[in-house]
Amino acid sequence: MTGSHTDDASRPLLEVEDLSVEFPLPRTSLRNRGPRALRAVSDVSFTMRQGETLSIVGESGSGKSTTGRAILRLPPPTSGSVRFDGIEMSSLAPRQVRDLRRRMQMIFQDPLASVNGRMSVGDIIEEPLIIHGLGRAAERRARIVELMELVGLKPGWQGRYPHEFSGGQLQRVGIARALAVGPDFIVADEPVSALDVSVQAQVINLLARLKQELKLTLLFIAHDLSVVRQLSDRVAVVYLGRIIEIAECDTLYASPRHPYTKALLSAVPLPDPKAEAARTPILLEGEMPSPLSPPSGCPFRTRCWKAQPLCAAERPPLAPVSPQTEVACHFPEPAADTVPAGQLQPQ
Amino acid sequence: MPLLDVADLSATFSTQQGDLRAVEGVSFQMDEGTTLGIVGESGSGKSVMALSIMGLIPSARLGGRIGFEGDDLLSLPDARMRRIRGSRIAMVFQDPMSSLNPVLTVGLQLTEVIRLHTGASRPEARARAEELLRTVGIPEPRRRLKDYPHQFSGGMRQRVMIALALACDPVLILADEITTALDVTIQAQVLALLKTLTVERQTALVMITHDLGVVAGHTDRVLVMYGGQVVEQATTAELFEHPRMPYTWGLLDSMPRMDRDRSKPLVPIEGVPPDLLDPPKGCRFRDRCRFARDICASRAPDLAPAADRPGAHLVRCWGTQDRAGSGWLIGTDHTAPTEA
Ligand SMILES: Nc1ncnc2c1ncn2[C@@H]1O[C@H](COP(=O)(O)OP(=O)(O)OP(=O)(O)O)[C@@H](O)[C@H]1O
Ligand SMILES: Nc1ncnc2c1ncn2[C@@H]1O[C@H](COP(=O)(O)OP(=O)(O)O)[C@@H](O)[C@H]1O
Ligand code: SF4
Ligand code: SF4
Ligand SMILES: [Mg+2]
Ligand SMILES: [Mg+2]
Repeated sequence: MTGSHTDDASRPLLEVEDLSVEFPLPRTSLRNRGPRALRAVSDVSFTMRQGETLSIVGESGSGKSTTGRAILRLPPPTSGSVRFDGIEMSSLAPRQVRDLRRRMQMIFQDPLASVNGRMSVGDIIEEPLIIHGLGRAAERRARIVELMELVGLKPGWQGRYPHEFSGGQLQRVGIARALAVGPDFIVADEPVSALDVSVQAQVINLLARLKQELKLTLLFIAHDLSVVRQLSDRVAVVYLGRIIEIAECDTLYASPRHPYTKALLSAVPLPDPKAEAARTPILLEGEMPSPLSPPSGCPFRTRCWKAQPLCAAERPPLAPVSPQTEVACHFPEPAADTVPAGQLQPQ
Repeated sequence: MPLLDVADLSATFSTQQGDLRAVEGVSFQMDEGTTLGIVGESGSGKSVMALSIMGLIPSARLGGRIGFEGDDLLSLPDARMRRIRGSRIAMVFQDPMSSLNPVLTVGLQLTEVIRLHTGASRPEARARAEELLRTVGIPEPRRRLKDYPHQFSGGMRQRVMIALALACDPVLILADEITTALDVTIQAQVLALLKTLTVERQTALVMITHDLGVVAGHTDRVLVMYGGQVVEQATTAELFEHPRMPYTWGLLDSMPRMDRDRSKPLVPIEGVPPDLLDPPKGCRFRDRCRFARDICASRAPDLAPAADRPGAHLVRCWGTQDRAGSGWLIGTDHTAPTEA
């Protein structure tokens, strides 16, 4: 359906600049002091090339979903700029935003969260086509069949209801629904997190195939670093609403430069008893602070084993330390000497 | 004598559609200070098995034997079972909110349990509660005793639950997916805490998880469950080095792994787990198995020693178990073909 409007290969499809999202805090009799708003996302900037997969990783509450949703204006960001295919989204009228959603779609962890549970899966996949006024009834029916085949569902199942499907099949329905209107940009928010590993692999492979076949630009949100590595071209690590490291995927895994990234990677359990016995995870103390009372200076300093007085006084900006990596740390980790063979993937 | 000796345990629910056998023929033993991992897909029977050991699943009909410190827990009177539960055996759940009382402070809940099981005075119990919170790594434990469960983060609530489980100094802890909802850095903290307990207090730990990574680093032995049955059972080192069940191969091949070349696609297990209301005849994994032969459809394999790994490695597969030379072997090179 909709093809790409980006002909100039060098121009990014998506440009996010200083994006911030605040949620106002209601005043109650119990709580009438303290901050008036919770800052979930702070000054996030990145760009995405056409066809690229960028992942956002970070722990629960770090602002991943809020970032993804703000790009789609669900709800709009509090400040900052999002340009999609050169168009400044904040300059658009609501109707134009709605039209642009044909090109920008979202996949969720719970594929049924936003649909009426009494609709058949055919209706669920068709609904976005009706909302956007695309095609006549017969055309839409043909499109449902095409979409179901594309995501590996039997078209004969379109009259069935969600409760007759397994988790992995429902996620395929969610993906078909997102693809129905022919988007070229997808925000996928933890699409495989709720699935068992055997089924998770099916959906990861499906996403990898679809992004190739349909030349999708994918913003992939997840907390599982092994899953992220499987799909990404670049990875952004977020902490307390800020990007603290963004790097080319293989570089990030082989040579993390931010202490938090290093700790995260060291804590991922490997399914190999010998490897597990041979390594010691970096045990961080405490937990991510509340976004209601973020620390001064570096957001990670309350858990960082390298923190110095400077870290409390000044927040380190996100800055390049190599052609592949930008990091927000006053004292970044040294680059690993060599990137182990087999971890480098030719593009 | 092993601390825990489970023999031929089964758990059956009566449902409107008929009997559902959630656990069938499970046998294993555990010594003090050891950790047993239980892995398997959702619905494979892990939680029902743990709840059966705890005697916390009244709607199920249980069969077999659960030997624990010389008793058969399945034939103990309720009152004695209640005393064992909480004083000798404790369970920690994935969702701590479901087992903490939201309207009581954490301190009150801890002291109640301590007083119930030790008869300690109120001040003694308070001191012990504070010490327990410190043991599980909660900063400022004295102040935190006054807080309600919702004032703790997910990771801290999980520690409070562990503290609650430790309150009576149990010899066996059943942990059901307790790190599944936690972020990886917090998971590492909780796993390190559990490891300390098994080493320093010689607590035996049953760790239920679906993460083979957690199993690899934190258990001594593993049961792999599928469709309510144990399908593979070995020491952790043995299981990862010489897996002998096509289902286990499938689990290992479908995992995205940071220690593998990421340019190769994952190899999923196609299909879905069996319907326990109407389990397939023969091998329960047959529909999804690339190696299935005729016999797999007609006869159900027992859990038996693996043909080339006699000793302690048990497997429920016609293809890899020892059938006294009467059968065929599917081979042990499971390297799955990558997608075309
Ligand atoms: N109270 C119950 N009544 C009827 N069936 C039940 C009951 N509890 C569990 N079951 C069934 O028993 C089987 C095993 O359930 P169980 O929760 O033990 O699996 P599990 O492996 O722990 O799954 P999960 O990882 O999703 O928690 C499932 O088919 C489940 O639907
Ligand atoms: N609608 C909302 N109202 C108030 N706070 C919110 C809302 N949505 C998210 N938050 C807060 O914003 C922060 C980031 O949330 P989110 O982006 O959902 O995190 P995650 O990384 O888990 O997806 C959290 O502190 C969360 O509690
Ligand atoms: S800026 Fe300082 S506190 Fe922050 S990550 Fe770097 S060293 Fe640690
Ligand atoms: S018994 Fe047959 S179907 Fe079952 S796992 Fe072994 S080879 Fe596969
Ligand atoms: Mg989220
Ligand atoms: Mg369970």
